[in-house]
Amino acid sequence: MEQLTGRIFNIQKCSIRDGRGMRTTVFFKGCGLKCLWCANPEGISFKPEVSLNPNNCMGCGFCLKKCPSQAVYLDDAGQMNFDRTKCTGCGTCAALCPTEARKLFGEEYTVDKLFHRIYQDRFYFEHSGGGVTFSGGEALMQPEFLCAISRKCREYKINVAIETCGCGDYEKFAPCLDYIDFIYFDIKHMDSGMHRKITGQGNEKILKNLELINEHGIEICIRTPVVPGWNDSDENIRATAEYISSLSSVRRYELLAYHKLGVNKYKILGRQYPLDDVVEPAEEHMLHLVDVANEVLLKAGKKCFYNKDNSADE
Amino acid sequence: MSSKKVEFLKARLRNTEPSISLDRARLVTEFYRIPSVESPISRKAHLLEYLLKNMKIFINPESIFVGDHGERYRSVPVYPEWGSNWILEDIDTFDTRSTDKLAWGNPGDKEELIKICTEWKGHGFREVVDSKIPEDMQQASLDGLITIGSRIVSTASHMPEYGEIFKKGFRKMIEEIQEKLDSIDHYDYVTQEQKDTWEGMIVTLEAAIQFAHRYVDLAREMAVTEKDEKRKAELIRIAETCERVPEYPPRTFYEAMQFFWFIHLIYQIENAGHNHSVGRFDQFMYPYYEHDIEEGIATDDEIVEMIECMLIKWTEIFELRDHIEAEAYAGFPMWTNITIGGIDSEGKNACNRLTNLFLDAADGAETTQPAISFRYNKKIDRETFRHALKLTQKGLGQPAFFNDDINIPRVLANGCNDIREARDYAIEGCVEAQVPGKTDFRPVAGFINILKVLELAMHNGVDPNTGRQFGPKTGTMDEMDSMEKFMDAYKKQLSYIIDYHLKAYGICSALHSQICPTVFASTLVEGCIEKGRILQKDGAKYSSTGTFVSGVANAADSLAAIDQVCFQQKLLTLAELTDILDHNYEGHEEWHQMLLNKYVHFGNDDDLVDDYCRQVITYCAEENRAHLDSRFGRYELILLNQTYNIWQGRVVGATPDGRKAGEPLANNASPSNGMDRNGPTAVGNSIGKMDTIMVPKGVLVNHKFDPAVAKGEKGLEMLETFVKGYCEAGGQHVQINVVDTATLRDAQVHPENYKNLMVRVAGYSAFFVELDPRVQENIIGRTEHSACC
Repeated sequence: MEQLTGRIFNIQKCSIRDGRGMRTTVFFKGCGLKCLWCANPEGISFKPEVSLNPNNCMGCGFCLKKCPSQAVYLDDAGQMNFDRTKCTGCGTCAALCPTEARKLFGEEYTVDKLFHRIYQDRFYFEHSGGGVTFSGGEALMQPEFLCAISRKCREYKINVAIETCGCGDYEKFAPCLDYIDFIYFDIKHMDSGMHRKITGQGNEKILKNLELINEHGIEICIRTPVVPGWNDSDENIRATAEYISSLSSVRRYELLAYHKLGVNKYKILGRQYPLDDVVEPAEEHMLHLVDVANEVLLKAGKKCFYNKDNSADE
Repeated sequence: MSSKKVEFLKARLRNTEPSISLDRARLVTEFYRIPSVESPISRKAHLLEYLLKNMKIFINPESIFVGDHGERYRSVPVYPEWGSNWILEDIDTFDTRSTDKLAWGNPGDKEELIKICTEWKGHGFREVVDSKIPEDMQQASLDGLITIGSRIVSTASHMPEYGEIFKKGFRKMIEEIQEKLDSIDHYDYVTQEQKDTWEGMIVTLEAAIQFAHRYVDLAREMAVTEKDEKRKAELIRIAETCERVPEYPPRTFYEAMQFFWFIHLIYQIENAGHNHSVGRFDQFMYPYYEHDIEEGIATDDEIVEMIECMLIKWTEIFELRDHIEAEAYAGFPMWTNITIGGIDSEGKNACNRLTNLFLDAADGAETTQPAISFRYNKKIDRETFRHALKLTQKGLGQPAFFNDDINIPRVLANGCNDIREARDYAIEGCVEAQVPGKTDFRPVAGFINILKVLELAMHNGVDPNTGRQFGPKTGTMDEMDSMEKFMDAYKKQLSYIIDYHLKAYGICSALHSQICPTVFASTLVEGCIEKGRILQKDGAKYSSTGTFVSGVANAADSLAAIDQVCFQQKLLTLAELTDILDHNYEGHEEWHQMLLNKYVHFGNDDDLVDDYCRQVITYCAEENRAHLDSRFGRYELILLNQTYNIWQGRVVGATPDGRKAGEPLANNASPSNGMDRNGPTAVGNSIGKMDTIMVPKGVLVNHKFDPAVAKGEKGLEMLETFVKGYCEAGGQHVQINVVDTATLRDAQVHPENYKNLMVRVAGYSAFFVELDPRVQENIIGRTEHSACC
């Protein structure tokens, strides 16, 4: 029988901003949305992908010699080139590349293999109330695997959180919810048209999923990445706050400031960064939006916050 | 903000140019010109007496504790009797070198020192030792195969149990020693040496009392003319205190502090050396603190001020070093260590109010000395622990945290069989846990470069640098058809070099017992008075010697690489790999890069390489332990190399871990530079796989943290979790450095050294060196910002 595997593009230990305590964050490959500002562009596609950082290339030519799809080729001038349309993401080149100029994003993990990596930091989890956070990409879009790994974590009393944009199929991911302790749920925009514009999808299914998840009673923290010019209007934040006011499992609403840390990844994936002209939001603006949301939320016994530094949550 | 007095003392420390003091060199030379046929023990005791009687003394404005190392403020004495040749060679560099520069105090001092050192030339301890070390060993030392420690300093490293000494005072101790002398009923060569020892002890204790009395006279004299009433009162207090201590037990916190200082200072005056450590300050000083508070003699603020003054005083002591060490150990470190926290001998949480006041004082004084060691265990008082972590958050790398759950059993597993004593351990030097007042630990037998030994194993015992057959012939690489065979060859080379190194050090060490007795220091360690024997002749209850081991991560990485490349994957034969290394990867850059990037490195919680590390360290430790030192104590392994990793890297060619010829070795027990790609918890887990209880005496690891991660309430929680988890994983010691802007700037220039440096935000994290330069600038801005919070 073929073993169940998940496709993972990164495992990050010692994370402290993805839930309670010290955590290991596991990034699932593939996402249903395609946000303009995505900081993890290597997580968008479900397929394994090869990145190329020409600055690290030493010109050994291993990739040229061994690529089974001739995606690496010599052009007329004798220069090595990379035709991404031909690349199947088999990873042969990345495995050979001595300098890691080529890297493969998307590795198959069995439940046991992934659990081993998570379990390594158990001492640190125990002392901080930490655990594992499944992020991505979109963890809910690999529901079978997510369910299996979460169940295993529950068996070992490891706290499980997910960071989701909510774009999976509820029927498929619902079984996972029995093993999840905490959910970060993104609402990128309340207006479906704008949502489609900035993420490629309308928000109807996402909000429906949120309402269904809400019924389960797992604590949810709503998050909005604040992207100046796109979703940072008072109206949008207020609308979000109003919407979540009635959701019983939601206690907090976190605003995250847009950042450009992912810019370089677009380059090495051969893509154009779509938001080059957007600047990071000023702290005052973030705090203003927190006030806007709290006008609504405090009445509902909920709270919005923005965590610039490591001050304790709330 | 500290008090006006403390701010004044801090400014004086910062603003006074360190200078060379000739006083001691003159006195010691005068003393040895006086003919004498007395035994070395008597002679050394009389030397200390002569120095304490004739040293120039002074009392600095505003100082509340008295006793200085040199003839003027922040001056360093010279010890020509420990070796003069190197001073003559370096004499022009003292006031010109770029780090730890020293001024000449008076015109003509330099010429006079040349004269003094010329008189001593060839007759100091160093020269005597070197004349007895065979030429091939000296050559091995020059070739970087071994280092021979303690040739220009005494065996040093004293850490008495101050609490016990305070209870008696020197007068009572003199009486006890006198009883020993009176009990001799048969004179023979054994009792004669005991007699010399006991008499010498009395000479040094009396000399210490008289030394204190010199300050009584000076303070009284100064008080007469002092106009400022407050200062006048301080001077009178100094006089009254020095009249009492060290002769009699201290009654107050202040008297106990001055008593402490006389001992700490006289250790330094008695002999060249460093590493003298304080022990459990918050324990032995606590009764005096409690007394002062109850009696209304001092307030918490006054106690903090006294500790701040003492922290500054500690930092005022330093030693004369050659230009290489001045560069390697820039900042005048003396490896004075002070221990706080932990559990007491009954197993209860030992943190008290004084622990917290000490942390406040350390925060206020901001001195580089002493190194602060905080003992952590599950019973620790959480608030005090968090108080200590808050100091760490500031980025000074202080305090270091020590794991009681490893160190207590470790002390028990290595000679001590009393659980109460073991629970009372304190840190000495860098990371070594000892029982204070009962142990004579010699820190430096030398540094064994185990990566160099791997190079020997790959060349059938020949040092490729010199072509000399140094190690045994353990087989050519063509004969190595399995990893087991290669490991076997490596172990044989290790055994050979450990034996060879300890023989060389043994020559030096045995000479210490014959010609360098530390009589005053012996008086203060349990066992010496009882046996009538000095520390160098096994006087102490526990004796051991430390051997440092260097290149740990490199050796483990290299073995894992050989195993995979040559035996598991069979991509190269061992002979082919050796050939590539002999050519320093020239023409094989792809192998250089692959070994750097494609093979596992120590510090990533990877079992293959971590197990090689465990195996090698256990083997080295057992081989060391099988040897006895010149006092029949054990050799114990310590995983640190300080900055010798740079120097020792120079003599090693390219190695299978992707290191090129001449590049530095890994720092201390840390992973190779930038090779820990999975964060600090993975490093902790790798370290914890070693047999940290039984094997290494100390495992020095520094962790770098992004300030954005370490700051604030959440950062505090993170640091707390890290230290707790690290201890649970089996770590013996952990030091956390919150990275500063300069480090990030350096990472921009040398990304190859900082591949492990992570930055984190929600749902995202990245390696700093892989970020877009503009984003890097942003992060540097953030760091600069947080540094001033």
